[in-house]
Amino acid sequence: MNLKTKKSFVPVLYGVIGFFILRSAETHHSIAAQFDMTKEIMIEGRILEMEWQNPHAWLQIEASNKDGQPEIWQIEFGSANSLYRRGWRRDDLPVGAKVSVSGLPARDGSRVVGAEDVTLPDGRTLFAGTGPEN
Amino acid sequence: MGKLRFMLCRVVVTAVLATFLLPVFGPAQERVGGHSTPAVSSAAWVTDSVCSDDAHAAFHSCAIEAAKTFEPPRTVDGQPNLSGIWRRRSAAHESLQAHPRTLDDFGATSIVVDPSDGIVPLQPWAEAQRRYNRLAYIHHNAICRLDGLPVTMYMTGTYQFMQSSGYFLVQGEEAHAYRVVPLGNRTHIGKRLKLWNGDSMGRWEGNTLVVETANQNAKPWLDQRGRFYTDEARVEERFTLIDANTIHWQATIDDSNVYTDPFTIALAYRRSTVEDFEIWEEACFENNDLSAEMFMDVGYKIYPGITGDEARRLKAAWELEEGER
Amino acid sequence: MSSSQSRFRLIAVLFYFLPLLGVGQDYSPPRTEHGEPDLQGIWQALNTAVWDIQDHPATLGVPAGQGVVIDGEIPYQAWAAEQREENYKNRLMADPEANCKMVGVPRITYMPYPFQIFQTPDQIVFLYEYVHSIRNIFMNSAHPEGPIQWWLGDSRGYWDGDSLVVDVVHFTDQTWFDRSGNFHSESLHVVERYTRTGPNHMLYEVTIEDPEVFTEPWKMSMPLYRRQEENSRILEYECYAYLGNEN
Repeated sequence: MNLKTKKSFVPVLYGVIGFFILRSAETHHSIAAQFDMTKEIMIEGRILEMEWQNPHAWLQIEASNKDGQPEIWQIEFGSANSLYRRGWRRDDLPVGAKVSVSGLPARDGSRVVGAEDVTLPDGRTLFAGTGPEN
Repeated sequence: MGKLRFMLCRVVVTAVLATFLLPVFGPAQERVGGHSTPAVSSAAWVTDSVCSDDAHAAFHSCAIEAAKTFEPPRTVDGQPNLSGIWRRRSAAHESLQAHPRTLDDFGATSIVVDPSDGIVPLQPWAEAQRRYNRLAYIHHNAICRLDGLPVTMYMTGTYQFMQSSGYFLVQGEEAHAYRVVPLGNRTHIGKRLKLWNGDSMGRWEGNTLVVETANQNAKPWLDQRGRFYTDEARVEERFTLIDANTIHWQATIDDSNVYTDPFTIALAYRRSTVEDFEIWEEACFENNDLSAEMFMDVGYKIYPGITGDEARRLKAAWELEEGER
Repeated sequence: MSSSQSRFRLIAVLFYFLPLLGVGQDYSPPRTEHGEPDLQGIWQALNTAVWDIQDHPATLGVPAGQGVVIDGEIPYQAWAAEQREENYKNRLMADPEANCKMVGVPRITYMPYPFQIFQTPDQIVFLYEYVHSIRNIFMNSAHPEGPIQWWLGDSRGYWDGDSLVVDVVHFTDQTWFDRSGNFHSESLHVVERYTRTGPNHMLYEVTIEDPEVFTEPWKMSMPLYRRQEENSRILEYECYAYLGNEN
């Protein structure tokens, strides 16, 4: 896990863009109430499963802490409906795949990330923009 | 190689998400079912209009003029036809007043059109209460509560309006919110019945649907800045088609416990251009435990609402306190 | 026989046979401006199905009731019959209604709260008082492609004569048919029929199909009643807001 403060322009811009993965025009509670928008967190792990739900879809990954112990992290996305409409399906999830997650850390210190970018080893970004067949 | 892939990834994400930045308020691709090719680069709603909606106050004045000469399409029983899928053109749920784009906010001009300075006329005690609200309480929408009026009309981005058989129905997909407005001559429910969405009654005045709402429980906020009202608030909304694809909506909030004067907000609804859009089920409370826990863990409480009596006591206490300073 | 006598006999014969042809038997409901049976209004079930869709005796707080399941028995697979018993034992905590969650279809129809039907040719909307549940019945259209899990499923409707037929799929497995633990899987497929039988009554018939849980399809049937009060409204039952915990 890699936590850093957003000080330079690129991370700030990236935060603005990533903001639109986490929420569409339709999700409306304040992100700042839940996540620390001044920081960025990065985690690597493998996909366990995904909960395709409303109001938020949750990706569960298994990462290793600095002692090498496995830890379960929950990655929060927008609604399952919004993912569906962008062409993503439950069966598209590559269970077991390694991913790099970057996003916003939880204000309460829990193992939850507000997803900005979830990248597969082949460079594809999971759940951003449009689905795999587009 | 890793660094190149990393940069490439960022470029890809940026390019893909540029389609989200234009237009400002929403993704251009919302499609029903299947792995269909999304529409890109154009707005997901009709932009061609006599009145631009960039600035709410300008839209409001323009719309009032445009409404005078527009002959709207009508339903079978002769009423202006407000039915359809509509996009609200505002980020007022963040703040009623002008506010910039930040990481947390889309940003917008003030939707307050009266008073003309665009400032919500909170009484001094109520401004202090608003600041406390914002620090202490979680916004009702984050814990899946209904939005009340007028907030139901701008909390989410996409709405369906329907008219049938003496009722006007509004649905917003987020958290399966809806409100039913009976039309015609009815009486309000009894004073002891307080509801999240209050009790609304509608009537036509010329080409304008006028809706009055009372009996609210005052638990929702007007925006994420903690602006609030009491259970004695009365809200009057007016819906008017100003062209085939634009509805002018305004709401006057009258609560003398909290505001120095009734004030009016206004915004545009634009007709959606997304083909075959359907409102789908968006459950909220059923799977919101983890998010709710995170709000409570950092200390937020649930806003309890406020009655007229409580407001008057707080106001009296404030004035006493201020008088003694 | 005189001509008036034979005319009389003809009329008598016709009166005898007409009901067998179905003429004069069925109620002919008023129609919307688009020519469809008008289902609009505020309706409510008036039975004990929400407690238990089968015959059940009374117990403290629970009225006795005759079941709404046609032929009485629910054709559970062996493992599922055991699961149902397990659910029954845990019902006070495990029932989705006890946790203020949406209760699925068809249970939302026979919850002890009114609902309102709002009708246009392309879309019929059911508005339920229980946790502001809402079902949009999209007419003459296809279900979106699965897998999808919605608490109230995806509803597609069409008219079969004067009956509204609604086909519902894409369910979660989290809901129960009643407070007694009768349950289903994500493969649940519900077909509803709504038929007006009089000015203030509607017949509600349901076919349940779920090959993961039942050995065969089975049916329920019950009348629905129009609320008669002049000022009738759907109010609010915001269950989870009353729970008292910080959720």
